[in-house]
Amino acid sequence: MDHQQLALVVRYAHVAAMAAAFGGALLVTWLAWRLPRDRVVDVAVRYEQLFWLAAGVLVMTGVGNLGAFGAALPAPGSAWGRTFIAKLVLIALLLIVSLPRSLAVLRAAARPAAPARLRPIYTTTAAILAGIAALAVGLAHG
Amino acid sequence: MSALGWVLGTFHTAAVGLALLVLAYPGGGLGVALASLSTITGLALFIALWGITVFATSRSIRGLDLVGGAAAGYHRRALRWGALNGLLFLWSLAALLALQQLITAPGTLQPQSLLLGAGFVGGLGSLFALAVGAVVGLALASIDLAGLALARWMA
Repeated sequence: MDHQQLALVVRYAHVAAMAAAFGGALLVTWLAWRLPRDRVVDVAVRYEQLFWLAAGVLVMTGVGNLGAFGAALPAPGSAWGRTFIAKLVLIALLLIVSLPRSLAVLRAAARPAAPARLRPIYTTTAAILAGIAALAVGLAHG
Repeated sequence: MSALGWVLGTFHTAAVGLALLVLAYPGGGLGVALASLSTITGLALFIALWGITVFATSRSIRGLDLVGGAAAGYHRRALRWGALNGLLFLWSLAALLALQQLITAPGTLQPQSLLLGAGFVGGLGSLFALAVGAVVGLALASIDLAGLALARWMA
């Protein structure tokens, strides 16, 4: 596999991981608003496992995508660089929100009788992921 | 591997990866630094970091009921397993870079430089990796416990 084919595979993996994380977040958000808590927690536990797989793949392939720029990587002061820094800030925010969310879901699964604030945390997750996706589209297409 | 080990280990990997990006990009040398690694080596390096971190995190939480709120001794375990994580990552990095050199430029890796590199990685480099790993492990354990406190409020 030559360098360009590999770069394309890395890019596809990045998009697929984002689709899984964002699509899953939208699905769990929708379920959390429509169904009782006990029917959502099982789906949420599965989503959390998938989310962290997607998060790892996103960071890995994101660095790979940056590497494909090589020395031509735009400077931090350029419009692209400022958008990229904004994306990094949103990704940091996503990680900060996602750790307690995942732990809360695991806790809710272990303690079925306890209340869980699933609606606001999944709505927030989906909103942050929408922001990241919007910035990513801007970075890819200018 | 438990679901908690997977969540915390992957969080640690992603947080370290993101922190390195945030530190390296504003300086302006990130593109050149990444270009010196082949894509395959970069991916292999990240997968090594990910695997080692999930393993070390899973071992550091074994026997603790963190989700239930029993976190006594977690910092001490994180210090120990974080140090081992740093050491294993350094050795993986050295092995992968040597392998890349062997594959992409066969014959250019002299036995003397290989021995010198192995001596540095096995000596001073290992001590440095142990110390950095321990500090990072301790910091991440504190973040985990803050996350757990928030999780208890959420559910």
